[in-house]
Amino acid sequence: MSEFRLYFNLIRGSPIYLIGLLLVSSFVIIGILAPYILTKPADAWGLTYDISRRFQPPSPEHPFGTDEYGRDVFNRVLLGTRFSLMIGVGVVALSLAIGIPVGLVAGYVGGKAGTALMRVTDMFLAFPPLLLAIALAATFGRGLLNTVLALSLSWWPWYSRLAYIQVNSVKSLPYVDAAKVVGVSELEIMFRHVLPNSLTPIITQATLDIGSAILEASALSFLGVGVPPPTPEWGLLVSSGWGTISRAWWISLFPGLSIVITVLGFNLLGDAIKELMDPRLRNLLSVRRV
Amino acid sequence: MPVSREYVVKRFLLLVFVVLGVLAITFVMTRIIPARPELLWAGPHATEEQLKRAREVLHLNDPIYVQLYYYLSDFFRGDWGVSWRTRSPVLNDLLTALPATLELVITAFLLASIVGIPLGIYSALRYGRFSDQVVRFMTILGASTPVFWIALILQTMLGVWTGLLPAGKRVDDYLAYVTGFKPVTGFYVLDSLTQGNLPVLLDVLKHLLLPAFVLSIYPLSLSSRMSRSLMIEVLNENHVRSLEVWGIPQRKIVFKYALRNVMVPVIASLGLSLGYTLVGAFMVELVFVWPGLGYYAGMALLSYDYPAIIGVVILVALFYSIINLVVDLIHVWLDPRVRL
Amino acid sequence: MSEESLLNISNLTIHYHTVEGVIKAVRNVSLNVSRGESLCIVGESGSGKSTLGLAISLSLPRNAVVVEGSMVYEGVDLFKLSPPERQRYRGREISMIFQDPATTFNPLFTIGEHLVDILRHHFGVSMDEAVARAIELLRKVQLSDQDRILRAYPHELSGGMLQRAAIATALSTNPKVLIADEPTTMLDVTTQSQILELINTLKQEFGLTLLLITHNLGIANEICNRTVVMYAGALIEEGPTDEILLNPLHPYTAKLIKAVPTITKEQGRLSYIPGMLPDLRNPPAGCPFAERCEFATRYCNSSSIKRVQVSPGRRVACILHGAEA
Repeated sequence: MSEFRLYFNLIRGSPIYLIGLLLVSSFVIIGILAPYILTKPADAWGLTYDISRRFQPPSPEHPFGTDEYGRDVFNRVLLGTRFSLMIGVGVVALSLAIGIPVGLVAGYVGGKAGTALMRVTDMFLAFPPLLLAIALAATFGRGLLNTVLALSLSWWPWYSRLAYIQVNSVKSLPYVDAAKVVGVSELEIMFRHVLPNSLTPIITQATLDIGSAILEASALSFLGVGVPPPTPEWGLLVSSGWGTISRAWWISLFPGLSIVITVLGFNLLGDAIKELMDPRLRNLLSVRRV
Repeated sequence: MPVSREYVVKRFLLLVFVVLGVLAITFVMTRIIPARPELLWAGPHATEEQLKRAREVLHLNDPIYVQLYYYLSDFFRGDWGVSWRTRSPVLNDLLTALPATLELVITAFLLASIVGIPLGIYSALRYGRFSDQVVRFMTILGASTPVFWIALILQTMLGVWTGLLPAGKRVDDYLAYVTGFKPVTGFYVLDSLTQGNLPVLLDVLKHLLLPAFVLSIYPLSLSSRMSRSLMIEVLNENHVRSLEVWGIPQRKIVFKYALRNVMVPVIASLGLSLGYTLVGAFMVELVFVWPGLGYYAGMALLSYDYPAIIGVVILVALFYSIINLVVDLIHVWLDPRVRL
Repeated sequence: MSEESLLNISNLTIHYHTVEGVIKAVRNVSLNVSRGESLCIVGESGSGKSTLGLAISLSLPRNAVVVEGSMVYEGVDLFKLSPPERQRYRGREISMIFQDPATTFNPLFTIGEHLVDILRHHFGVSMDEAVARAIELLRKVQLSDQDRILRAYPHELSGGMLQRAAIATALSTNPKVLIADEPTTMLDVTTQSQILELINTLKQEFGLTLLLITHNLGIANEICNRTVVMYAGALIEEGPTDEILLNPLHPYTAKLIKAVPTITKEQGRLSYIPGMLPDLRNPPAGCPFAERCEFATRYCNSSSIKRVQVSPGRRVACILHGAEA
């Protein structure tokens, strides 16, 4: 109750957070509904080619204009929401599926085996973000699934490190010792006690990372190693207007704006949650040196 | 605070370990994951003959450990394969392109620290006020913007439509020719300065401005956000309160004492974001036709020039590891508490 | 001891604005401090004693608001001053040391950098002169090897040494008032008594007026001739320390005395005060202790209780002693 009131007060104090929440929820809703609310599905899926409608500027008929094949950009951007949602959720879910078990085992087993596992993780972290994903994507070849795979393979170490730290801090809590004394098995302790307690912060972090995953996926597409055309992925849509941008700016502008708005939503929300979670920042808002 | 020799040695050993890790991962990625590595290595339009040659070059007919041996020895001998786009050795291409990228990235980083850190501190000092909220929103926006998109948009608006700034390249070729400009080091700012070539210097700076700004948006946002939250945190610490009680003016507490507490971690994180910025340069250089590492990487990616891609990846990863090391050493040097 | 008043606080009320609401940390506190005396402010954590200390040293956190009241120091109401005028009093007239010596100094600066900077700022002396004075100050707080201490970073010194260095820094400005906020709480027992003794010695030497903030009435007894007791932001009892210890008037003070650990009582169980501090966002109108008090009557909650003088120098805010509105 008091926690809830605290959050409420914070959100009221800074409308920025409300915007974040609004952006993220509308992104998710549009992403789910996108295929069913298209006005020009054939354009959206990239099945049409109408030379007479090429490069039309924004108008009531085509709010975002048309592209070099005469397709309606608005419909393509709308459907792109679905792809971004799939990629974002897919990358984060797959990274969690790899990262959490690795971190969990390394943290729980500890000792030499645990250290060795974390050293492998560190090797992956020796690549700057995005670089490894680029290399992997180039190796796997273009494709929606390959893009998700390439990004996940470069992301999971972050989560295994998080899980590792979490497990180590939870492991030393008194009730885990208590469970051991009572004779609960190691595995049961791990799954019934350690895991649920370690999970919440990692899942929170991962949810907020969906925005960055979308950003990185769009970079892969832009560089030609991500999703192949004619998929209406936002990064790909931006790059499709690249050559003609000086006379048909709308082809690149609107998909890019969609990326900005979506990622912004996740980042605003992330900033708010970070402020709520961080006891030091929170103290600031409630300095009590009484 | 002098850094202990033990620490430096330990840190160098870690660097060796990391480099081997990078090579191990790239080996697995290039030789084991693909079903037929020679297809990637020789390019999509390779003939049967070229594929056969590629198999020999990669030693694919030998057992894995022999392949690994040749992989490592080739790497350390500087034989990083041949780009089939440029038809020249990858390492040569990379070293030729490096100065252009460094010039761009360094400029972007100067921009990021000179603007970002003061902005974050200003925001912290106005904590909770309107201007703080604006700065905060802008920096979150900056971190949310795809660099390739903002590069395209600004290039079109400022370069193509209005012609306020050059739309691409490093220097006006005609001007460089007329004034007898000679790229010696590959750092054009430096070259034009040492040659006393003022017109070219101005032209180079004009060309540098837009791509460097675009590239700096992410590190700028990062350094600003970090210095803001760190400054807020530090100002709430007991030692700031004691200086206040002892009569040191607020201004001096912030700009002499707290600033150091803020700068140490910000410098560290800026150093680390250099890796991400180098990758961002792939896209920025591609858009601005900036003949550096990023342009090379971007073109390699767009044309699926696999040896070139892997070469860039390894070089950037090595670069990143070395930056990591340098950042660590600086950190130890600046913070007397860190003694490892 | 002279009875000349140095500092006169009247009706001071301080609120903290936090996300959880407005916390009324100090409520309607009046206090008179004579020049050269040692006064203890005693209370539990949450009693508002530290806030009072920060208010006197003009260093309240930014989210604190002085809602009401005045603080007259040598004839000047410090709360009415402009920020630059106030700056002339910080450190120079009123200085302070804190509970945790480990966080008193900035970890990235040496003790010497702090001390020399403060000396140069306040007295505009040369670097050499400042260093010489710093060494002299460190000698006065009985730290040997002063050169090494000056060059040391805070993490290189022990808690006791840091607290001595903090005392030296606080006194470097030649203040008239020194506020010591729980100066020994974070130290081990042997160091505690040394530090208290040092504070006592320096009080004489520098002719200080000492305000010692503590939760421990035993410490109050060692140092201070006069004590005020705070509870939930209110000042509930005031008087000579020995009288309060022998004959506490307020039921809370009596409980607090029982809770002080002494060596003779070591074997037995420590007594504690049952119940919780009232919520300071919404403090009771009457006696704040009424809820936990065994002598509470229904008048305690309703009436607004004032402090009354019981004997010369002794005041108490309790209905048992005739303090009625």
